[in-house]
Amino acid sequence: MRINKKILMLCAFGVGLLLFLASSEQLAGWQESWQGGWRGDGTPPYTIAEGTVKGGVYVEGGHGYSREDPYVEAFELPEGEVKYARVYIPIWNYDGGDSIRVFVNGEEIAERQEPDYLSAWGLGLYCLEAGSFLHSGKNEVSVRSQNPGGGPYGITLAAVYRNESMPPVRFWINEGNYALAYTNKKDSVSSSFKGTLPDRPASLQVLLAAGTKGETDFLYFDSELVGTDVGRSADGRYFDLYRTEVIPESRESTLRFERGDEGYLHPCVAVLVGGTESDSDPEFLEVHEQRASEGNRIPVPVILVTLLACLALLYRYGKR
Amino acid sequence: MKKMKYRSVFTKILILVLISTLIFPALAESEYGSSGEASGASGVCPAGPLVCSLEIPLDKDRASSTLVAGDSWVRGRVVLENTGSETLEKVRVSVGVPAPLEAGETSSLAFAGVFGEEQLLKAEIGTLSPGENKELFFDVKPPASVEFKKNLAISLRAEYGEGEEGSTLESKARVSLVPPPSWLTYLTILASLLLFIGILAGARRLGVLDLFSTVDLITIALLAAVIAVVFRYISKLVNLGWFDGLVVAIPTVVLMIVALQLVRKPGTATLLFTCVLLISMVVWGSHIMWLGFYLAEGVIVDLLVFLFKMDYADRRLTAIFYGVSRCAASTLVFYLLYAPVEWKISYAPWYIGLQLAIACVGGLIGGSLGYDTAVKMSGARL
Repeated sequence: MRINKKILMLCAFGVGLLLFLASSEQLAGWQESWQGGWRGDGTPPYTIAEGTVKGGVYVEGGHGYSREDPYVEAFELPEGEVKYARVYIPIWNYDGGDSIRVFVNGEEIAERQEPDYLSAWGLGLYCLEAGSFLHSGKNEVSVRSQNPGGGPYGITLAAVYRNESMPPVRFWINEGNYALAYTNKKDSVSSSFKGTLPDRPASLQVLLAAGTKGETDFLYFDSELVGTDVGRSADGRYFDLYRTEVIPESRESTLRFERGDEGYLHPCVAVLVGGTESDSDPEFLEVHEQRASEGNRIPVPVILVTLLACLALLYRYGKR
Repeated sequence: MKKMKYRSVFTKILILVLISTLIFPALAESEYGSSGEASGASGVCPAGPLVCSLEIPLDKDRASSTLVAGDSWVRGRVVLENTGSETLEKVRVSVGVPAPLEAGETSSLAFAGVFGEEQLLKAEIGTLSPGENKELFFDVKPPASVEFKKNLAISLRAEYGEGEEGSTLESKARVSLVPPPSWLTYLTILASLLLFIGILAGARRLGVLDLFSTVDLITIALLAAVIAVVFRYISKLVNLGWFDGLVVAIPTVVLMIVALQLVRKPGTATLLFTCVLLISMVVWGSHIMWLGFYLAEGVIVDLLVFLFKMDYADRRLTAIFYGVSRCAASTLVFYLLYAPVEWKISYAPWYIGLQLAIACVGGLIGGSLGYDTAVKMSGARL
């Protein structure tokens, strides 16, 4: 067989393979095995836990993207019994084979590979339940990461604690990892809180990754603008833990993140804590099922350019 | 005979690469490096059984004791160690963070808070047994901008015991505050745009643009699209750790050499990499400030084409030389200019040297592969 025909056949095979990959339902499975590339738009933050508790919800974290190993963050938990706690570790540049080991107060609580939520070019969010490892007072969380080209953006703790002497609060912990980016042309994402009390003040805390100072984004709670340039690396490099007071307008409130002129912004966690209708409201804790991270896909421009390149070669060698 | 000649030139290239990696850290040191005392384990006070040291930043890739203005919070660490054979009682430490640095609240990481205008971070350690060490973390935030490079001193004071049995150790950890990239950013963008306009004007005056046929432009656009879109995507599919850069560098150089041989016009490389940026801007949202970065690698290669008397990578040797030059130029421009400007990171000289060496290897492999590919594709001009 002449070399030109071989090249022609190779090109035809390449085009056929791409068309198959672009249309096949098996695409997601195939791409997962590639362990990289564009990981999709991600998961909009949704309610993972909600409830009413006499006490409060402690949300703290820091301290920005760096390549420190171990990456250490300490938390001073208020007096009370920890009923539920979630440790959040957003990381940059997850590739297949990377892993993290998480230690709480010196004890290894988990070794994880694939993040719970993954989006864009490998920005991941690990979520770990750590209630049984925490206590009131000082707690230290450290992460050892095996990630040559990346590392944690920070460590954030959301802990629900019960203290009989405190009034009850209604809380919602929303988590996810959604890529608001120029690349995927996603400009906004919403997250809802069901059962809010209208016209009663509540405190909102939001964890964002990849925000850049000077690139203005917007945060809306119901119809009110509650933050401008919220993702600005205020609490560390590409790490923001933004806090504000809000007033729900109805029984279901919506938090909306708008990208504005941010190149990339990843809303990851939103915690809303408000009052209850009366002090005698029954306490409860409801933990919802965790959603699976959405699969990755090949961006359309990559498919188009590869097709064009193959067609150009086909055209050239077809002529000869 | 010919083989001998190639071998000799290869040896010279390798020597040049080696020299550049050795010399570069010294050059980088003078620009971004830390001042003498601060390099390595900075701020060590070794008197007596109590040894304390201060390290900032903790990221090993970054230049030791160097902070970039405009950066966000940077974490530092104080390590106290009892090297003696007796237990030390009432150990306490204080760290003074000088203005214009801002000290962060670090109460949950051993320090009790920030006190006074001197921004003193204080911690009561208590007892320190023989051989025991204690780590204390603190955060500092550089100012948004400073006019010139500043050398600052973070004071470190450690005490143990009381009265005659007590002892006090004091030292200063030198920290360099590198000028803000803000003015440098604007200057870089301005210089890039001026260079770009200059190149366009010059090319038009000399009629260079007329040299490019429609087929040439399509070829360049197609190759640029493959570099900007497909290679960038593929680079994220592969995890080679330290050698991740090679995944893009090698095929990029291959296509650059192919473009040079297929188009064979002055300014091909500059046009190719400018197209790469334009496509990246449209597809991935890359910032216009990267224009200078992309122009630099193209201009370097085109200058070399002139220097080698319009040799469009027609020999394996020139192909390799162009590849190595392109990779070295882009690495240096990135780590010396764009990393501090865009990401406010001053990388450690050893890290830049290592990346430069890896990039040169990528250019060498890419140049050689590119030459073979281009020769095979020479009949594939559109």
